[in-house]
Amino acid sequence: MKNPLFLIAALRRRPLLAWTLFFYIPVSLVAAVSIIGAQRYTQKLNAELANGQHTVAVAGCITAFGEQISKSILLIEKSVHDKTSPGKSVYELQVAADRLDQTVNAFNDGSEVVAPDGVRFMVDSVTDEKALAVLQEMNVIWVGIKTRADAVVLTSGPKKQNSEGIPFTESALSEASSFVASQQTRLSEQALAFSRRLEQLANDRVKALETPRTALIGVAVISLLLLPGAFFINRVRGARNAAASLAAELGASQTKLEAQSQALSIAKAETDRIMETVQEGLLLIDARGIIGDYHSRELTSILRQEQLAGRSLLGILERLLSEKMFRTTKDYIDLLFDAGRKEKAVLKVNPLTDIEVNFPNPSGGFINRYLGFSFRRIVENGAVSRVFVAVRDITTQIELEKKLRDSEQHKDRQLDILLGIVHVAPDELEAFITLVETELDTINDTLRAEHLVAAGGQGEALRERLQTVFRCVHNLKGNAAVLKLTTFQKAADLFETKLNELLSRPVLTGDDFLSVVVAQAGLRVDLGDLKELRGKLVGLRQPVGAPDASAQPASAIASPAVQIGAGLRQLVADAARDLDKATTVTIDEYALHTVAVDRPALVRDVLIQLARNSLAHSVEPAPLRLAGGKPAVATLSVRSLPRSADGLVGIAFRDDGRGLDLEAIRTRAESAGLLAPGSSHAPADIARCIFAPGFSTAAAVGAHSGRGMGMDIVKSKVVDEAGGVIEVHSTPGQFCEFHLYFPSASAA
Amino acid sequence: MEEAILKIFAQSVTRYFATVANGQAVLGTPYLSVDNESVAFDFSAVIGITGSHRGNIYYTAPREKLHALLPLIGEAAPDDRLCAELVGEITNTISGNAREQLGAGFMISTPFILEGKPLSVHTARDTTCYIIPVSWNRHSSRVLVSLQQNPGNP
Repeated sequence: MKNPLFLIAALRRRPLLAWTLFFYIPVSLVAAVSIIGAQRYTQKLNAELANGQHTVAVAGCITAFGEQISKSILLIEKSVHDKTSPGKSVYELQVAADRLDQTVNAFNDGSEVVAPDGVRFMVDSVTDEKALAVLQEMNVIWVGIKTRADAVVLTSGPKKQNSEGIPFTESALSEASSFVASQQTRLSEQALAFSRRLEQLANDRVKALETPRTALIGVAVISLLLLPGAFFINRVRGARNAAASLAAELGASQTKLEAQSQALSIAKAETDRIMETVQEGLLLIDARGIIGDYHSRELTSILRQEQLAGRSLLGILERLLSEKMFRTTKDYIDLLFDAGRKEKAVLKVNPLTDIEVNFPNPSGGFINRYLGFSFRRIVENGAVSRVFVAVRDITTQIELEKKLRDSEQHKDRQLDILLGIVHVAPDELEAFITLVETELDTINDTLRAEHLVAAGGQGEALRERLQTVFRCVHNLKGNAAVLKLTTFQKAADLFETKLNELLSRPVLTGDDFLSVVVAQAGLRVDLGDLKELRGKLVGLRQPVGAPDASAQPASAIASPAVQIGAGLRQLVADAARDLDKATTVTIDEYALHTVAVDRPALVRDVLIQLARNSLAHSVEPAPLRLAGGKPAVATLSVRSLPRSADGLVGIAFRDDGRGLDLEAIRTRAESAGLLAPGSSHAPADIARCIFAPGFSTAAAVGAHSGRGMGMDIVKSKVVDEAGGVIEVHSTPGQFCEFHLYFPSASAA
Repeated sequence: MEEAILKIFAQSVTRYFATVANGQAVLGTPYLSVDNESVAFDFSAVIGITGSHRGNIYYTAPREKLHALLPLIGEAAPDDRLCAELVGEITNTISGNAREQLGAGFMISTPFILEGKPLSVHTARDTTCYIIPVSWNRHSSRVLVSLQQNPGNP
């Protein structure tokens, strides 16, 4: 057996079943019983009503029958009086008397009677006291009337078989008539009272039936009303409960929604705050590149545009990127939305990690910025629905990186220079810087002379400019070699290569000099680095304890002659090693001092070129020297010369090499157009060719020869600049000696 | 800066005179602007460069030259306004030619006109200003190129 609580719980869960079991079915039964009861009571009531009506009607017939009797007796009396036949009166009297008698007897004893409407029915004997009293009164009256009526019938009517009728006399009839007439009134009065009483009794009986019937009808009606009412109420209550439940659920949902809404509001406020303050441009784009509704405020600053939502990112970038970069960007965004490609691989090839964009500047020109884009896919249902984009202005970072890169390159370059100059005495370095500045300024001044252009003077004038530049560069190179400043040596060598190529051209134009000016700019950059390092070196050297130059004794400061001598020895040693020609240098320090005291740059430049020239062209390799009976080690010497007749100071530079190869010089000079081919030329004329710009008998260009500018520089410095004289003495196979005379600078 | 880029400007300016002025312009030997010397003539125009390179391009010419050139391009009554417009046009043309050769990444601004001889040449940081003298019909003018290649644009 199941637990009753379980049933209660089940019924609570199913209220309709509970209502059906405990209300609808019982009430329906009550209603059915009530209806059936009411129906039965109604039937009884109807029967009672009909009975009552018939009874009252029958009672009412007493008066009618009495009147009929009275009337019939009067008619008979009249017929007797008139001596006419009584006709039907006797019969009618008899019928009325019989009917009245039956009626009265019915009320007295109870019997079946015929109502006026012809219906036969049972009349119960009267039991009510009041009705019985009236009935007895009527019985008395009726007996009197009946006696006379019967007498009249017997005397006036056809003789009944075996009757002993005595014919009424006229007087007897008259007396009977009077009696009946008088009793008739009383009978009518009693009959009326009897009828009323019977009617009242019938009404009482009907009323007695009506009450339960009404009650049953009421119960039935109430039951019948209760069923739909309850059903309706249940439905209403159910609906109300459902509504309440729904309202509760709605309320709960609303509360939940409000909570969620509040949480969302907080989240949105936080998101908004983030989007307001984040220092990156954050946005979402769809497959068409359209920017979503929300983006960080910084994006407008980065892209320098307002109202970005709904606009095409590609459209914005199209105006900022170069055409090629834009095409790349467009392809890349297509790639981002291609779900078939792996995101990791796609992100690896992001071409927008650091791109340069150029915003139009309202005041003209462009505003140059570097932006860094990063992307992340948003995948929904296996498809890339949108792409998250983060943009940063990385201009500062890129510029710093560039600065760092430049700085590194600068440092590397400076380190090369630094390694070259650490061994150089400050005054030598200073002299070299001055020389480079002078030479570069000479080069620029030479190139700047625009009047030649305006005058249409090209041709030879441009060639002369080129030779001037060449001399400057060659001199610079020679001095760099003395100090072992390889950076300048290499730069100058490259410069010379360009100059050589230009000199070989038959015709020169202005734009041929573009390479010259670019090379010059390169040397100026190197010079700038050198000057910067010089400043740093001064700072480095002083703290070591080196006394200030001004505080040093005069003897401690290297004189120009000493510097030149040292530099020359170093240069010769390096070049001899490079050329594998063992060579030594002997220098008359006094003589050098005499000429170098007021023209140190000239003496230095000239001796450098002469020494390089001797090593390249005159000094033989050791085996050849030994074969020629000479010492294996060649000797370069510098000595003084007595003043010339013109008062010029002089210095001699000599090598014990092979001397001038006049034949080789002549051949080269003829091919270069310096000498007429096939003609006889004096040795002096041939020898003079070595001073022509670009003239060289070297088979190939090398680090120490081949440019043909060394002797040109010597001539230019001594003759053109200083106004001096050069003498060349040479014995083939024995020596070559240059006598240089120039006026004293102080005298000039 | 590469020699090739300087050559582009040199060729652009000679092509301009050959096409527009129906005469050959002669280039002088290019040199460097040092010590911020004044190299301006009466009218100058400057165009900012960005993108693959960064810097400025100037074209400067004397009034007389521009007055001689203007009738050749249909301006019979030269005045200062037309002179200013002409130097702007020349600068724009030679910069545009350079853009054609160096690609769309070589981005040029609109010309900015300067009048008067004193001209402080604004060069991009760490760049050298190259001056290319141009002679046409014995009239001098100059193209100033001050460019630096951007590190991100090889």
